[in-house]
Amino acid sequence: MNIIKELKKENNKESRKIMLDDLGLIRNITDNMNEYLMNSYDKQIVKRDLIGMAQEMKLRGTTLRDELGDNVDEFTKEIIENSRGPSKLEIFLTTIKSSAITFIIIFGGMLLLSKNFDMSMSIYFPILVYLFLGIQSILEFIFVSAFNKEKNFKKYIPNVIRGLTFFIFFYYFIGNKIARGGPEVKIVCLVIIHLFIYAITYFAYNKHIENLAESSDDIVKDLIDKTK
Amino acid sequence: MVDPSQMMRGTLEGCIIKIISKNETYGYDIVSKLKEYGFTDAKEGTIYPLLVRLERKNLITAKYKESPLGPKRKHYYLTSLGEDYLDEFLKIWRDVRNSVDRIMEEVR
Repeated sequence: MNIIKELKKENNKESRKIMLDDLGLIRNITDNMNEYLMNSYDKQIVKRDLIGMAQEMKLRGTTLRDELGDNVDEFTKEIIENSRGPSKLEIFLTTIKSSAITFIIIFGGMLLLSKNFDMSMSIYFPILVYLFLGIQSILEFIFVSAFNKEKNFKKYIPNVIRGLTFFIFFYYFIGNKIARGGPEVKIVCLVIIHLFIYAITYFAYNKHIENLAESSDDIVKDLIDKTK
Repeated sequence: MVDPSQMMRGTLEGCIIKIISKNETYGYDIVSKLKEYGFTDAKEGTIYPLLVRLERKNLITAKYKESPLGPKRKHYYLTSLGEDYLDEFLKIWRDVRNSVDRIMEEVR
C-alpha cells in the first residue's frame, strides 16, 4: 500500500466537508511544512488532524480560523518544531526518484524524437547533474531549516541560493564543455539504468514511509476505510 | 504586571497528561477540561502542538475512533512512559509549589 497516496486521498475526501476558508488556511499551514522541515507522513497526519478539527468546529458553529486567530504562523512553527522533523532518507529517495523520472522522460524523448537509438552522450553529463542535485539537496536542507523562521526578505534567501547554485553549476560545468568530454555512453543504456533506479527508489520510498508509519500503524488502518 | 498565562504554560503539558491519564480523550474534551479548571485561554490551537510533542516523546499514543458528531476523532491514551512522566511531574510540581509557598509566606 502506498500510505502517503492513501492518506492524501482520505484527506482530499474529508476536506470537502469543511468551510472553504478553513481549507485555504490548512493549505497555507501545510504548504509551509516542506520535506526539509517535516517528513511527508507526519505532514499528512497533521493535515488530517487539522481537517478533523475544522470539521468538528463547523458542527459546533465556529471555524478553525477563529480558533487559531492571528497566531497561524506561530501555530505552524510550533507544530514543525514539535514534530519528528524531516527524514533525510525520504529527501534522498525523493530526489533520486524525481531525477530518474526526469532523465527517463528527457532521454526517452530524445530517442523517440530522433528515432536514432544509437545516440550517445558524455557520461559526465548525468554524473554532473546528479552531483548538482546532491549539492542542491544538502544546501536546501541547511538553508531551509535555518531560514524557515525568518520573516520578510530573509525567507527568500534559500531561493536565491538555489538560483545561484543552478547558475554556477550549469554555466561553469556544462557551459565550459566539461560535460561534453569524456567517455560516451549509449542513451538507451541511460534510459534502462534510470528505469531500474526509479523502480528501486520507488519501492525503497514506500518501504521507508511504511517504517515511518509503523509506530502509528493503527492510525493508518483506522483512517483508511477499505470497505468502500 | 504578572502574566498568568505565561505561568500556566509551564505546567500545561503535565496537566494535559493528567487529564489523559483519567480516561482516553480527544482534543476538544481536553480543552473543555482545561477551561473548567482555570486555563481559560486554552484552545485546540494551543494544545495541538503540545499533543504532537507528547506523541513524539511517546508519552501518549493516539487512535482514530468513530464520533457521534461526524468525522472520526483522534483519541489520546497515556503510555507507560507517560505514566512515569506524570509521576515525575507531580513530584517536581509539589516541590516547586512548596518552595514558592514558603517564600511567599516567610520572606517579608
